[in-house]
Amino acid sequence: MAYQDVVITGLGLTTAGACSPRELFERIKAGNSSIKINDDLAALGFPNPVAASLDAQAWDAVNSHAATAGRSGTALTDLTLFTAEQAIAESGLDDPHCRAGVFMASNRAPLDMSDLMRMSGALDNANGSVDLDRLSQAIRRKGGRLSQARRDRSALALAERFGFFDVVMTSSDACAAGGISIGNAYRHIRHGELDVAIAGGSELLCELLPFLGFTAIGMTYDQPRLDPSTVCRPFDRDRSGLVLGEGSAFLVLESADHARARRAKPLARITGFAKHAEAGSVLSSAQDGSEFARCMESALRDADMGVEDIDHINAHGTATVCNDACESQAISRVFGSRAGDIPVTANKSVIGHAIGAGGAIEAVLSVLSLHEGVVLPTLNYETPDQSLPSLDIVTAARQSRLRTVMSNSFGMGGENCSLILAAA
Amino acid sequence: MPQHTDTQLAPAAGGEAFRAAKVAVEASGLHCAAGSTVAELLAAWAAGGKPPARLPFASDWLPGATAYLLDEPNLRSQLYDRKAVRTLDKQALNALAAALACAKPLAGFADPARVGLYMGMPMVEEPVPSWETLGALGRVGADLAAIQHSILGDTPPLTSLMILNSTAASHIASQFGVTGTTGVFSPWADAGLEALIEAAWSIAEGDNDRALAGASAPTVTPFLYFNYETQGLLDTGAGLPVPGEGAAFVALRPADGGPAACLAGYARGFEPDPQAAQAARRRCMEAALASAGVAAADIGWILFDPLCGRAGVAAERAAIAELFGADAPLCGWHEVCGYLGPAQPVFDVAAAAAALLEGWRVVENPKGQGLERQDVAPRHVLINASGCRGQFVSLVMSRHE
Repeated sequence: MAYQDVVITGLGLTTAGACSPRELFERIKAGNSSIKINDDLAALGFPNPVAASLDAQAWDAVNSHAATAGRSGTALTDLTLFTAEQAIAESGLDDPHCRAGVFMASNRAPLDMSDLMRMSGALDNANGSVDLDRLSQAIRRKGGRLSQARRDRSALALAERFGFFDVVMTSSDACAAGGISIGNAYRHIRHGELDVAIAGGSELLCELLPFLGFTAIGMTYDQPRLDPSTVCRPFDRDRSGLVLGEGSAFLVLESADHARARRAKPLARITGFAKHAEAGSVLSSAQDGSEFARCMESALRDADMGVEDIDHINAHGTATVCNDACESQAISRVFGSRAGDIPVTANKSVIGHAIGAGGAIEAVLSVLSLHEGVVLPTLNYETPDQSLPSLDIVTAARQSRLRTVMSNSFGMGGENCSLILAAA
Repeated sequence: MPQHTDTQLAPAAGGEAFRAAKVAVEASGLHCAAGSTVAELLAAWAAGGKPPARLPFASDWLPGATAYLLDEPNLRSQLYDRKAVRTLDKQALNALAAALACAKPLAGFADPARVGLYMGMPMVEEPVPSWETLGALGRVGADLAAIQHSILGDTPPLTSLMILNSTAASHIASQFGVTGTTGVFSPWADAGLEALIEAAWSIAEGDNDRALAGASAPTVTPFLYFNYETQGLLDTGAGLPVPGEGAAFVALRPADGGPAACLAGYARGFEPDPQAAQAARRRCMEAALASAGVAAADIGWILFDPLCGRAGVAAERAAIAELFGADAPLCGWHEVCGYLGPAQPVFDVAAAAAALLEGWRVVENPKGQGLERQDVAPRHVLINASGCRGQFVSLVMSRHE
């Protein structure tokens, strides 16, 4: 089969502390964290109410855009459209005849406090049941996630906004979904089904129920209160769990031929992708790193590259004890004697873990690293974990001529993804 | 930005590679009110089928609502991992039951890293806090911290492992030890066919030698009806839709020489404008036929998606009539086991594979309601699946000798 080369021609990003890819890139480069106390979670009495929630500045930008471009009816979709339009604008795409698709990662829209309050209002205390008629009326009257939780809503809104009708796909592969949506788009362009795709993800999970859920299985940061900007410590000896984040990121992918024909300037290329089921424990990956390693090796094979070809690793790096141990072991297994020489960064130290959007955010930052020749720092990495293989965890922005980046996303339950990005 | 003309749904480039791979259905497993095999489905239909059950939560809002409900499958004797049972919700357990029913060909397969798993899943509803907690939320001056503790007390310890589709797929991968490529798609019937097409591509592109592809129908709860209502699906003008609980899986492999039911071609698209839906669906079906290298006259059986809104169903039927004639051999299984959401098209693929190999079809009776069996052996079958906002996918299956 003759494959198409795939290039990236546009980027969009919205996270805590940033309303564009370059704003976040500069923020991380300068070592500024976006992790803060979340007042809503603090009011609920959580001992560890830190998160990288979208802030007022971000919501002002999203809402201002929605007021002009048209409101979608949900915050997640407004955020998605705002972010994706950045990417489309940068790409300069204006081709009425291209075959175009949407590849969107979104795991779920959880019930929030207003939903729970609405359900509370529909309680029939006399009978000890929920009055569904009253609940239905409340949903109809006020709107809300109970009635808006359709997972494909944002993908369809993107398709409609941009006229990308040929493939519309919603992936929900947990923490790997963002990377997988980009990989799926890459494959569809590579085998010739599409010319162009918008790919990425959005997630808003800094809510009561997800926070409780992740806390209940011991994945969130759980130490006594510290300065919020210091609590997320990927690969550090004293790491103690993930910090939830929120955000959205999108990339415009197109075939190199299509980009060339319209004289678009590629920002980077996608050269490899792998996704695997792990079929092991749903709570952690193989402790020896073998499963993460298998995924990285598959991506290298897909890119027809060897370990010597990778210049930088954008790690999944959640700051959980288990994930970072597995990923360190995996990097060591795959890269052998080179493992300690490849600069590794973990963006979640700044922006938390935006679950389905995480892989897309990190792919955007990886593209900028390639483009700008800068490896971004991992915040709060102070003390190496002597029980793990020695890696070059970058702690201050480092100038470096980069040809390639491997970006890892490893999903809870064992859905793993590695992307390989290359300089244009 | 793209303009949508007749050329927009041209046969998918790469379609030749897809067809040449001759990915075949090796086995299928169903889990629904009508049974766990296509033969049982046919027998249930021939016997007149069981009527759907009245919903326990039917109310003025849903007068007379019925559904084909299933008991939660008891898989303990077949599962090695009790955690899997405890951390799968009902629809995921249904998917696992269907996968168990079709996975025999994988037993002893040498390389689990060359077996993929692809699923279409509806949304998993998260556990709702207890009435007591909800009641406390509504009281003026409620202590939010106390409510947080109360909700935490209501929250099953492994909730986070239940509420993501990927973890449902992971449990199923674990059950069979398959570690090839994977993908999960949501949330409507089109997602079931997306899963199947991506599974077939994973074989065509050499990532896997085998793949399990399947989907689950949503668990029937009040939330499903809230969702239906939001999508306008309760406004059918012909009574409430009758959902069914269940799941379907197929095992895929490259055809190896003998007679085989193969995935021959496909096309997909999206058209949000209801006025343009009929033309877009027709183009999608034409593109699928072209991708499979067959003409409309070659199609001997059409399995269509009966739950995509009143306008969607009308557009689908009109497009089929336009392309295949008013007496097109149509079938929808919802009368036997209810609307199965993402599982619907996988269910159809299982039935089509059996029909292609065994030489029969079941079609709508042109004289009135109901279905009738005909001993006509189709060589090519068209399967359509839709989302309820204008998404559609068409798949052609062909018999290869």
